[in-house]
Amino acid sequence: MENIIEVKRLQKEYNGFLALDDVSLRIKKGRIYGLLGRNGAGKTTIMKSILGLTFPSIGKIYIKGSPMNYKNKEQFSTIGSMIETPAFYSNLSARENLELFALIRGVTEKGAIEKALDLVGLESSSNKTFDSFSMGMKQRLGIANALLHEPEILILDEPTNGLDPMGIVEIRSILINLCKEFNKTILISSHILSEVEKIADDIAFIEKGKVIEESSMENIRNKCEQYTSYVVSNVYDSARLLEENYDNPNYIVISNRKIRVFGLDDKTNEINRLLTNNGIDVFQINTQNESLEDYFKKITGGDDN
Amino acid sequence: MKNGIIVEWKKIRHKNLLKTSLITIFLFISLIVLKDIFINIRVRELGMEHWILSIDTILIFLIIPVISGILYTFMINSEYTERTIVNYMSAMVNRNIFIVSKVIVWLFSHLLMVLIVYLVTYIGSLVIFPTTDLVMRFYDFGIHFLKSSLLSFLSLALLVPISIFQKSSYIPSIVSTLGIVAVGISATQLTGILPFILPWTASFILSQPVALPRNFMILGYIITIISSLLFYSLGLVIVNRQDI
Repeated sequence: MENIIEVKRLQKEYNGFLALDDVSLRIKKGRIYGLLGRNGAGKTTIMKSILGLTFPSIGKIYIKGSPMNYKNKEQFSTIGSMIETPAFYSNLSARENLELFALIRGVTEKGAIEKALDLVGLESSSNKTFDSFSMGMKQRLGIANALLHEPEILILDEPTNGLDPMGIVEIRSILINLCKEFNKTILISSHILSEVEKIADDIAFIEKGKVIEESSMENIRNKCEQYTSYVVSNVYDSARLLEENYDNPNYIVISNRKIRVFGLDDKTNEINRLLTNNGIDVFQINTQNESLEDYFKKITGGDDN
Repeated sequence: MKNGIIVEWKKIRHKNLLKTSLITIFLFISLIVLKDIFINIRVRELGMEHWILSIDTILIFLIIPVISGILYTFMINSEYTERTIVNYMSAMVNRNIFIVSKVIVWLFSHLLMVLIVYLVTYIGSLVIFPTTDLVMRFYDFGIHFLKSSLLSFLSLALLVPISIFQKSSYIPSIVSTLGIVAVGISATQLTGILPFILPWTASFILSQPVALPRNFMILGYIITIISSLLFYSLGLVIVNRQDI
């Protein structure tokens, strides 16, 4: 499948601080690509570099196979974006704001503004000004602005940030629709792993400016191990019993009442009996797959914030 | 470029900033002219040149530069504070257009402010210094105020690199505006070649309706024009290297 964006060995330094360190990404056409990482990991800097808002110290970016040229209007017009929080002119309505951006972009197509607003479910006739918009409406307007010139690629930085659960679901369905129905390539960033897990086809984990892993969601799902978690009265005695009765048992103590055991799913009844026979109360047993969040914690070796 | 200018014009209109500035200027000049018509009768004895010189000093080189400088500071720095520059820059390929459009709209706003001063002064002059040649005076005033307004506008060029460099901080640009005005007005205290060396004092002296040595005048014009071009260019260099 064609790489619509390719980032090669990108490095960005701010006053001695290495914000991006040898970042390479391959974003395939017609798919949703999720950039995952903690706040400050470098996700926004990658997006800003692609958009020419910040200039990489070293490295190259290719759009549809050609090296990115920040002065090339044609190349730039294939991208629509929303970076950081959606920022618009506070005393203007959604329509008036988009009229300004349509003028800057040279969008002359009649009805382009209505079409973009309609796609994200905003009323084009409303006189409500941007400063009185809810966070959800602001995010929608940000996406509408990104869609205004009908770009092939959408770059959206934390598009569900600050939204209530319903808002998150709505934005998610808009993005899936744009990708599947309109064949848009979408690059989104988020620090909410469970959110990206639901929509992304490919993902990259970013940690301290480095790409820890880049893979398809399918591969990651396959890599996520199955485990059984036990809620018990004493985790330390439970761990000791596992050590004594099994060869090199793979387990993690999650809290002082919860232990997670990998690779012994077929021995759930046996472990349950072992624990209860040794005077440990077992309150709950659950077998499930590792989530993306668990996987991220595992590969970065720490808690997500 | 044309679209950039239209966008900037729409933004400044919607913000009511320009309207407020123009009303403030109108009130100031109207009060000064009414005072000279009804209260300050002595102005007739001092003559029209002296009257124009005092209006120039107060309005064109004091009040208008301060208001104009603040207006420009808001035009640039609010883009950084409200983060609209992120949307703007990612929609626009050429950063130079962003700055040049703003400077052109700023110049137009500056000229509009001076236009108000020009018209009110002209009407007031007909009452204070009656004449039969209305067209000639209108023309003379027009030339004088156009020259003064362009010189006072050029003296503010330093604000362009400062406001871009400071991004979201309004203070340096506003303080610079006040500094430029203070230095400009201080030209009245300088003699010989001195006021022609600094662009801010030179622009003030050159706008005065008084006879000046030709060599000094040429030097003043060269310094004013070259320094403002340098400041505009510096602004463009900064914005093109800036991480947004």
